[in-house]
Amino acid sequence: MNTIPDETTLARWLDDDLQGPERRAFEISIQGDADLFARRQAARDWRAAVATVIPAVVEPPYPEFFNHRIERAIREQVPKPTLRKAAVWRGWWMPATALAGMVLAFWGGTMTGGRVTPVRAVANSGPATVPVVAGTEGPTVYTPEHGVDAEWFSSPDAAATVIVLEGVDAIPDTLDFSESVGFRANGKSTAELEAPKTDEAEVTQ
Amino acid sequence: MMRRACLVLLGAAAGLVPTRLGSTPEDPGKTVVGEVMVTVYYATDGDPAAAGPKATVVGKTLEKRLRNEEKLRFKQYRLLGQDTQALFRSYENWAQPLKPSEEVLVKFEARSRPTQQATRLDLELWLSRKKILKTDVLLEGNRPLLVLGPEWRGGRLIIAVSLAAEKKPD
Repeated sequence: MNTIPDETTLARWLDDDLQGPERRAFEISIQGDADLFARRQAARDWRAAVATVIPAVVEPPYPEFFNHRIERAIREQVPKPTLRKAAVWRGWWMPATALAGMVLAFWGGTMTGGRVTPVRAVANSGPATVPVVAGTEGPTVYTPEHGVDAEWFSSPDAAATVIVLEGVDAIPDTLDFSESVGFRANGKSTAELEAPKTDEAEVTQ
Repeated sequence: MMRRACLVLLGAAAGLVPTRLGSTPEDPGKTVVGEVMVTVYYATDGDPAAAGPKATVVGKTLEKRLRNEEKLRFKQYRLLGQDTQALFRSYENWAQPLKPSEEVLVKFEARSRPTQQATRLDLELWLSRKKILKTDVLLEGNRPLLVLGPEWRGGRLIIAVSLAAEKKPD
């Protein structure tokens, strides 16, 4: 008969983990070994001493903190209600908003683009109604030729827009425009620039 | 008889077909929307006879108008030449007021739809076949553009650009 107890059963016996027939069988096998009984008593005393210092049940630290983390993780896994809002926006709010924006932009353009006044064309052969954008700002003047300057101003005395050119090469005196001055007015200006009538014209000598 | 009638109809149809194929739709860009008048005056403090024997005296109204502006004030004014050309809807056009000379040329193009009261033009003044001035100007009914231009025979040329008045039907 093997009288040497195995280590596992001995450890369970020392911890008072063996119960009933298993415990009785083990104690018979050790045949009242006083040394083993002394070790079991020492183990019991040590557990009693530890139990006085450490409570049997220990709550985890900061339970509110951990519970909050868990609740937040659960909330993050739940589908967000904002997705529902986005679906509505894409459904018909977005086209409606775009249409309203286009109408607003068109209205703004008509309000800032200047007033259009339909009137008759200048020439008798022009279109029936031709609008023009009203405006009285001055002209942009550009002189591409080197050394030529141009100054423009609005002359109330002459009732005209005047541009004064400086630095232009003189026309050679040898050029004669006698052939061109033989015209008789081929038109009439709206600006009272018409040529004098033949009977009023004074021909220079 | 029937055969002759068919031949006549075929001949008439054959005459119509080339006419239809040959016609092309008119370019709306060539629509005349107005007329621009360019006039060249000779202004001098000297002897106006330098302009030549055919130069004509300008009217009193115009003379007063020019003399009112200090920069355009001269003792004598003479009319050298004038040209009126159509203003097209989309295309540029040229005025040659000193025909047949090309010494003074004005190129113009509508910048906005013209009215009888006002027209904004892109305008270029060419002197001696060189582009001297480029501008955009608003011409109003009685408000022309007056350009004090180059010297010539002791005086200066004044180039006036204005809208042409509507022609009255004959």
